[in-house]
Amino acid sequence: MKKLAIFVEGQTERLFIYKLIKEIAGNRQVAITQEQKIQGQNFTIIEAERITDETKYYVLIRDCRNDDQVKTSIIEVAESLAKKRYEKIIGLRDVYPKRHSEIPELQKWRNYRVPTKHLPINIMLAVMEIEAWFLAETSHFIRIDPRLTNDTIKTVLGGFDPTVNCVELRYHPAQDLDAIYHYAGFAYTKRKNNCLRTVDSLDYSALYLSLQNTIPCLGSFINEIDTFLA
Amino acid sequence: MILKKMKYCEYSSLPKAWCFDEFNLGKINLLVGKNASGKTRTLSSIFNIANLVCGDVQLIFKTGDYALELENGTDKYKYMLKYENKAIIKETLVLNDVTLVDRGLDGTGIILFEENKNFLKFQVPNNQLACVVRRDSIQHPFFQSLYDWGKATRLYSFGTELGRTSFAVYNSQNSIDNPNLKEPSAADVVRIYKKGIDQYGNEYNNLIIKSMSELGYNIKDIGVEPNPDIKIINSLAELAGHMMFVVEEDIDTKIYQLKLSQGMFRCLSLFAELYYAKLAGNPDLIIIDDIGEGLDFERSTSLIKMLIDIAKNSSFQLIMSTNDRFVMNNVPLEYWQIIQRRGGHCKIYNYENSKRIFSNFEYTGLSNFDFFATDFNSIGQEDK
Repeated sequence: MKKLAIFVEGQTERLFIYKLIKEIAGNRQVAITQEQKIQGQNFTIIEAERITDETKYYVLIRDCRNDDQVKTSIIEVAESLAKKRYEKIIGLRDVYPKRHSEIPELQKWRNYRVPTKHLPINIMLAVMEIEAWFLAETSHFIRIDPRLTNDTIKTVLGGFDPTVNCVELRYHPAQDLDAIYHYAGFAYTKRKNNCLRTVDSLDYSALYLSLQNTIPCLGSFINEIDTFLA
Repeated sequence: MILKKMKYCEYSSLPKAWCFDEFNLGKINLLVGKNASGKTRTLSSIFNIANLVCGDVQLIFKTGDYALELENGTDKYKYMLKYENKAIIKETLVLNDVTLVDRGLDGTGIILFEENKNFLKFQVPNNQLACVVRRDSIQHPFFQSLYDWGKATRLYSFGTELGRTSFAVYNSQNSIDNPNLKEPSAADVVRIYKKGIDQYGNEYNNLIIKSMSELGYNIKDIGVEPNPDIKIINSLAELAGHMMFVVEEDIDTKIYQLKLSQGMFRCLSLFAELYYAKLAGNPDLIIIDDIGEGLDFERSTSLIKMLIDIAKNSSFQLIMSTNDRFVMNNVPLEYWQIIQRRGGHCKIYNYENSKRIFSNFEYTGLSNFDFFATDFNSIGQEDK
């Protein structure tokens, strides 16, 4: 059984990545365990899918509950995960609240102190937030509310058209989502139900088949998942 | 008044010398360092000079060499005090680049007399601070700001019992000794709380209850009264030992402080003191040593966020120390002061004097605690 660990900074990322892997994996036998950081350095299981004799892929998704805990949490358990035969660890964190101009510095320091001797570790950035990927998948808006047409989105975003322009240029995509949803009387918050409303409305085939080619960070992340599931 | 810069040295020519270089302070400061790096000693030095300039203590140690910069609105004060063998060698006060007081070894010097705008000679005993003995709000009003700052400095040692096992004794007229507000010791907590309730009633109590609730201590009432389990007999009268109690939401009975957990009482005590200081004393500087000590992850995380929030919305300056991982992870690096000691010489690094390393670290994606724990700890390299 191949094993992969993904460390993310929050609940939204955990919920989205769970769904994304399930959609990409299709009928391949994947079991996913979702955990969340609790007291100190400990994690608690939120949901653990049953591992059977048929399970070929196992993914552990850990919500570290803070962007500055992603790398630290990985460093703390890299050796023990290697001993448990994980083949890779992926860390995913947002660039926000840093600025676009700081991305080169973030890239430069990305692997600082990341141990290399136990197993491959890839710390990845979502520019500027994972919500940029949701923003790019524009068809989900009308599934949430029919009033959220492309024209409405463009108006709310002051002329920015996510069907044409690169969403990685947006500074605070989560705020963009909130502004768009507000038009229909909803809010976008970090609460689970709010996150699920968006995550469950996304068209994962659009993300996988086309948007990964126009959003470099999403493309890199999906490439990691594809490689693992190959 | 805000302490902007400070340096200190004692026994400078002896092997037991202990010093820290000048460092800048902000409105909120978290002093971090390994065990025995000098955190508590640094805080004590700040508290000592505050006590000295307001006359609350005499020259305690044999030697001391302090240099401070304080800011009061647009006024910038520079105060320097150096003494050896409990005799003052040098004491100066500069306000906005004008030297107002300058005295030397034999206690003589010059001082500005405000009324006539004249600098005149003066002499004070060589073991006494001019800023204390010559305090005169008409002729030398500049001393008053320094004095007020010293008086309005508070020190709380969070890592101690903070008075959990102590009680206050009232006499038959229900009066009580004045508590030591500056550095509350054991029984002072009860006395401070009693004064808070007497002066501010529910406003004071509700602030404490609300803060305790935010930390997850669900309390519906707090009070002070004789603990029926404790009786003190002296030759004059039978006096009751007063203690604080809490009533929890789900237990309809009074739980006296002796029965509270140490962590819970530390928080209760800190809030009782902080809110009294805020309501009554308008403190200038609050120093909290070992913040977070003895608290679990959730509570130390919440407490530090609350303290920062209180400090941001108050006029006082806050200086805390810790080596608690959870506290460090929840205090932005902009408030950090990292202390490193080589022998008796300490250097304190912060965003201002080590900007490149602090800002680089923010790009690494590591937690703040790692800043303290990794090789970034050799941040002195920036000096080279």
